[in-house]
Amino acid sequence: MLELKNLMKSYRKILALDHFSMSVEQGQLFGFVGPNGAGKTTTMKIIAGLISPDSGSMKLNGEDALKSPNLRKQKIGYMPDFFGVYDNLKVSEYMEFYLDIYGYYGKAAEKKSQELLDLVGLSAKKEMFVDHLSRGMKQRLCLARTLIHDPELLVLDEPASGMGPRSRKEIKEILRQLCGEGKTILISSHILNELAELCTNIGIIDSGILIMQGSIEEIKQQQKAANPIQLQLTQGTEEALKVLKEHPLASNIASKAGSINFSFSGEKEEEAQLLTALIYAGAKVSSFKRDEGSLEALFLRLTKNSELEDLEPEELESKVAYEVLKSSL
Amino acid sequence: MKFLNPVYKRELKQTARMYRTPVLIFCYNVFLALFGLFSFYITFGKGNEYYNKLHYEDILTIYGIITGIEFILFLLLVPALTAGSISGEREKQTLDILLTTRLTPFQIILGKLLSSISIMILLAVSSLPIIALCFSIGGITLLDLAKFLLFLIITAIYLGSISIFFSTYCKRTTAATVCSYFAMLVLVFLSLLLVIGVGILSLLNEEDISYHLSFLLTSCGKAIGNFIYILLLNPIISFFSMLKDQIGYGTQEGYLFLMSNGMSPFCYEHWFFISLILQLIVSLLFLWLASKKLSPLN
Ligand SMILES: Nc1ncnc2c1ncn2[C@@H]1O[C@H](COP(=O)(O)OP(=O)(O)OP(=O)(O)O)[C@@H](O)[C@H]1O
Ligand SMILES: [Mg+2]
Repeated sequence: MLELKNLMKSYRKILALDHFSMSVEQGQLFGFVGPNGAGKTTTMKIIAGLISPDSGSMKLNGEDALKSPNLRKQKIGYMPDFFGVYDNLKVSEYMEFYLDIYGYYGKAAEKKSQELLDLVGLSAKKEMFVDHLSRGMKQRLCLARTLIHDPELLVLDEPASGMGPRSRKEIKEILRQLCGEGKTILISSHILNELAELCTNIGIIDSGILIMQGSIEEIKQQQKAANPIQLQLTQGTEEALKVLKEHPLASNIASKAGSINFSFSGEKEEEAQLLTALIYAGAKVSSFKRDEGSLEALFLRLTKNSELEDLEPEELESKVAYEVLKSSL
Repeated sequence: MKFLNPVYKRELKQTARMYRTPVLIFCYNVFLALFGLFSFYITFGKGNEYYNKLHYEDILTIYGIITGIEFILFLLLVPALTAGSISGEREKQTLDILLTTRLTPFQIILGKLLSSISIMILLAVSSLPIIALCFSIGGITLLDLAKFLLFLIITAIYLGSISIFFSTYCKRTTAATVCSYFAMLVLVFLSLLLVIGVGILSLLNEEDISYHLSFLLTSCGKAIGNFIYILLLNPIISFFSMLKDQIGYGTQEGYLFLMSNGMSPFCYEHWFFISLILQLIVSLLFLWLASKKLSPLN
């Protein structure tokens, strides 16, 4: 569906995108994650055709899209991270304006407008002036506007930023529904957890480089691999330590009164083999389990990093979630 | 309604709801009316005292004054109303969305220009009763009035395109407004100064400047030569040439047209229309440049 290859973009001295490549397949709900300043907005603006990359290529359904603004305008619906609305215009008139651009008039426009406002749950606010809407409502209105020309690919830049938890949930529902109707959605956020429960696929960007992309299961698997394994023993700590120290996949081993903590980069199969080896060596294992990816543990480790100390809690959370992933690679 | 530019339609709707619009129309007309009455008072008050008669030229003077004031109001209002058209959307963060829709940059710019021209036309039409004061006594034909309206519209297009051009190039509305007014001043005054300056400079090279001072401007005209055509872009000169055609404002416009003795007679004869056509062409050029700049992929 969408294929970006070797995109380069720099703003004077800042290199915003560095040989950036990414691909989104038909029907995916693709989450695009990265810390602040990673280059998400830049990438999305390039996709929407608002800025052009210094070099690289972009394909939409196999067609070169960089050189054909019409193809993009037709196939892509773009919602910017920051946007404004017009003064002195009612919600229905705001929709009318954009419907007009796409050639909807009179009854047809009314019908379409009603349909879209229903979808985002704004039909009750039709007679309100757009500049009196709350931020979350404006975002929903903008989402409705994005859908007017029935684009195949939705490019949404942090559509839920600044929204309350309830609105977030509703937006997620809407996005799932749209995805179910066959639309491909690219959505950015700097909060991994939020996207993790929504998206089918995730791409992670940092400093203009795509660090990884994959389905949510693959990512979860990798996130898990980064978490330490906790081993409880009733007897045979020495033997267990000996086995672990010799094992190539185990590291960061720490032991304390009958329990051992260690990092293990193997898969399920290797975990099973390790457990067998431990028991065979004479350790009496009472419990053997992976930590369930508590972000807090990592949080504590990371707050030693002075750079993180003055971050907002929300940003910190994202940074932490992001570090988890990064360390797993 | 179907074929109207969507941006234009939306702007009309917003303008109609703005508090500013009726206030603007009111002030504009009060200002014109005051000047009209004032010029009536000056001309007729004087006439009654001495001759108790009306003079045909007096009507023409009043016409000249009222249209002149209206023209100056146009010069001052068009940049103010247009300079924010694109930069305003940028500041309100609505421009990016607009650029990703089906609209082409040229359509966006055209919609903006149309909407500010519409306000200006509204102002001009609303002021017709005041201009019609001159009809009350006769001397001005309907055709003259139509010509004046046409002139106002073209001036609005001309200055409007230049203001839109700056509105796309400048990030902020303030900067765009300053640039637009500056460009207007350059067109109106600097072009005149330049032409006269060229004339005087080339005269200085001749030895006998001191004598024939009364012919200074005439000889200026010879020296200026083709530089005179720069003034085709000057809306004030177009205005004077319109007055010249309409009421044969012999001496006043003479200052300029004395310099025209190096000019082709055809151009002298049709200065008004030639300048308007040229100004329209320049407007198109500015609009084209603006839409080039607005297009994100340049
Ligand atoms: N107009 C600009 N001029 C100069 N530098 C810019 C501009 N826009 C972005 N940058 C730089 O490019 C880099 C990427 O910015 P971008 O906005 O794409 O990040 P982002 O991932 O969207 O961040 P955020 O999560 O804060 O929205 C940043 O280092 C930023 O400083
Ligand atoms: Mg961003």
